[in-house]
Amino acid sequence: MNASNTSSNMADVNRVAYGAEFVGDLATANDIRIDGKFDGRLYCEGRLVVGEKAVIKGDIFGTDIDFSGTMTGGNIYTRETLSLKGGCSVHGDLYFQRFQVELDAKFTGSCKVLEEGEYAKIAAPVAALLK
Amino acid sequence: MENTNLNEVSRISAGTAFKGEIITSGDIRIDGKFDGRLSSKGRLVAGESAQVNGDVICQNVDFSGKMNKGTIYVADTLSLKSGCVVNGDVHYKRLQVELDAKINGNLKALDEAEFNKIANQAAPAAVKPAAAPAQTEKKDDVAGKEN
Repeated sequence: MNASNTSSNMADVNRVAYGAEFVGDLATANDIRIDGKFDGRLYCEGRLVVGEKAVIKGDIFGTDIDFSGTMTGGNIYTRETLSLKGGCSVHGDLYFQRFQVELDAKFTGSCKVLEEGEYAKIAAPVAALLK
Repeated sequence: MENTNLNEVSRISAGTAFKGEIITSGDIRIDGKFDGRLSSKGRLVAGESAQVNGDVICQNVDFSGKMNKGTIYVADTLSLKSGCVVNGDVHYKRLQVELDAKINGNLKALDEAEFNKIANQAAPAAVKPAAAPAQTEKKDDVAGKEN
C-alpha cells in the first residue's frame, strides 16, 4: 500500500490527516503537518505546518510555524519565525522571535518576543517526551 | 492521485513520540514511539522502528515493529511481519504470521459483533469532547466578551 512506499523525505514528516484526531502530547525532532484535530501539547524541532482545516486546542511549540488553521485555546510558542496565514483563526497568546501576519488572519490575544533561552525553558516539559 | 491518498495517511515518523489517544477514519503509519490508544477505521502500518504501547483497534494491521505491552484488535486482517515483536494479546478475524515474527501472548479469533463492541467502547469517550457543538459554544463565548 502507498503508506509504506513513500520516499524517505516524506517519511520524516509527521502528519495528522484530515479526519484524524490526536488527543495527548506529541514531541518530534522532525517536521509536522496537521490537517485534522489536535488536542494537547505539541513540540516540534522542525517546521510545523497547520493546514486550513486543522483545529488545535492546547499549547504548540515549533522552531518555525506556518499557521493557517484554527486555534480554539492555547498559546503558540515559536523559536524562530511565526507566520499567521490569511484565513487562520487564533485565540491565544503568541510567542516568537520573528512574526509575520497576512491580511485576513484573525487573531485574539497578545504577542511577546521571546528572550534568549526562554523558549527552551518553556518547552522543556513537552520536549522531555523525546527522551 | 497518489498525493490525495497520501494526505489521508496520518503519520508518526521515526524520531517522534506521541502519548495519548488517536482516532482516525483514515490510515495511519507509525515509525516512532506511540503510547496510548489508537482507533482507526483504516489500516495501521507499524514500521520496523515503531514502538507501540497500549491498545490498537483497527480494520487492518501490518505490524513490523515492537509492542511492549497492550492488545491488538483487528476487524479484518492482522499481518505480523518478520522481525516484529509482540508482547501482548492479539484479536483478529484473519491472521498472517511471517517466519521470525515473535509473539508472546494469546491469539484469539474475533467475530464482527465482538469487534464492534470493543470499537464502540473505545471510540465514543474520545470523540465526544471534540465534537463540533462544543467548539461553536466556545467561539460564541469569546465573541460575547469582545462585544
